[in-house]
Amino acid sequence: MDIAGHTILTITQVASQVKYSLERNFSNLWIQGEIASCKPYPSGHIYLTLKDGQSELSAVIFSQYVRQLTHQPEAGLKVTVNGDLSLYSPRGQFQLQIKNLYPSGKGELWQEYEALKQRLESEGLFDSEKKKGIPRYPNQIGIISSKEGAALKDIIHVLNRRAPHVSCLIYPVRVQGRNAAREISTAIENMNQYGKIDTLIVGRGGGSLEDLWSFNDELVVRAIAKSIIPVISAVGHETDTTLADYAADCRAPTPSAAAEIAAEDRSESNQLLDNLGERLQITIENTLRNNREKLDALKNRHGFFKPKLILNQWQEKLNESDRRMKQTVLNYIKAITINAESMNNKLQLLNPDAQLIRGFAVATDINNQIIYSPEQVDVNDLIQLKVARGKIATKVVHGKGSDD
Amino acid sequence: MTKKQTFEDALKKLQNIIEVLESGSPSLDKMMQLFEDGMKLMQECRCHLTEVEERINTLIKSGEEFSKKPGIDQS
Repeated sequence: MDIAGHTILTITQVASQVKYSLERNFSNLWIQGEIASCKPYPSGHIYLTLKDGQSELSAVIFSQYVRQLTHQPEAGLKVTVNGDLSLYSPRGQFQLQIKNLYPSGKGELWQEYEALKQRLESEGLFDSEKKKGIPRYPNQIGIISSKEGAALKDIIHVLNRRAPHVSCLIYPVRVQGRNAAREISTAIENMNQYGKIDTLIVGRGGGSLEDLWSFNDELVVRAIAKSIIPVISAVGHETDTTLADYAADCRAPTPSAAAEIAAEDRSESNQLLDNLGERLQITIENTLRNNREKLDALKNRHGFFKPKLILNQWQEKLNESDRRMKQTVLNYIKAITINAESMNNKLQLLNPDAQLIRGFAVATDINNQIIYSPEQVDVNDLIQLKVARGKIATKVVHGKGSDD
Repeated sequence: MTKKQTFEDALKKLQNIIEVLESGSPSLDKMMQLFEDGMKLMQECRCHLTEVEERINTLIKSGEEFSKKPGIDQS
């Protein structure tokens, strides 16, 4: 629609053109100022007002960026923020959409930090699927820290208390200053080369931004990401987040916390073993008792007695047979005895001497031949008569064939 | 003391044995064998938890050689 050569726009058209212009010309700004007010919403977004001596600027941190903030915003804080300008069309207000926010004065440092973070992130150094698990029961823990630092003392102290069965191998390094980053990254590489280490703790105690800066160094971040040994980062306090923390397999809020993550408390392990030992004992006792009960039940079963019954029956049969056999033998002996006696009696009857008792005599000639007939002798022959109680010598007076 | 397997491995085996025993399925002979194995693993686990002598050392690299020095090296 034109009026006298002018194009007439709707509000929405204006808004969308302004929005386009803002986003095109005012993106990726680094702005320094003070947080005048700051209000988190249930949606997770944080709405802020930034100001300097003369001006104010509405700003928002969307929830997906809130989660990634390196520092938490609060009213009164002087900050350097990084973000894009855009238009909130419903209210016709332009606002700064903040992507990250840093305590002021270190603007350039943070720009570098942010650029490095994005570069390393796009290379996949912070990928969560690349994170290795931290062993719960290590044999040896490697510690890369300053030998004079409070961090090392804290870590050793916690490990002494919780895990006196775990060895600690310390690799002393400088954790701040010019050569710190190189020393830390070399230490990580050397520890990996040495091996025999289950977990690495890399860290230092709290300090100023510059003190902690080595842990934002590309060398250190890359060495951590490359480490075969799982790395726990423990840099400064809970509120300090370094790039080393993003690359580490686990980020501990403090060095003491790192030591707690690195080794299971020995008393808890012992308790677990006590519990397992008890279960082992109970299962075997139950098994033995069950089997004993089964055995008892079997002992009372009929089947168990049957062999005994059969044995008894056989024993009886055997006894019966034995008795009958003996009887048969006895009967036989008796029969034989009776037979023998009758034979004897018969023999007795046939004994010639038996006839003599009854008054008969046996005559024999001089040749001791029994005389059966008179022809065997002549008159005057001497013959002998055998009678029951002795012998009589006599002479033949009457001869052969005589009837007298 | 030679550590044949890690505490974690021994613990896992022990837990498996207990689960099998608690299921009550194996034969008595097998169960006795498992129980014996379990006791050995238990011993091994306890062994892992005994205190280590000279457990804090400093790793020193000179050239390509690594050496260990007891305590926190203050040099």
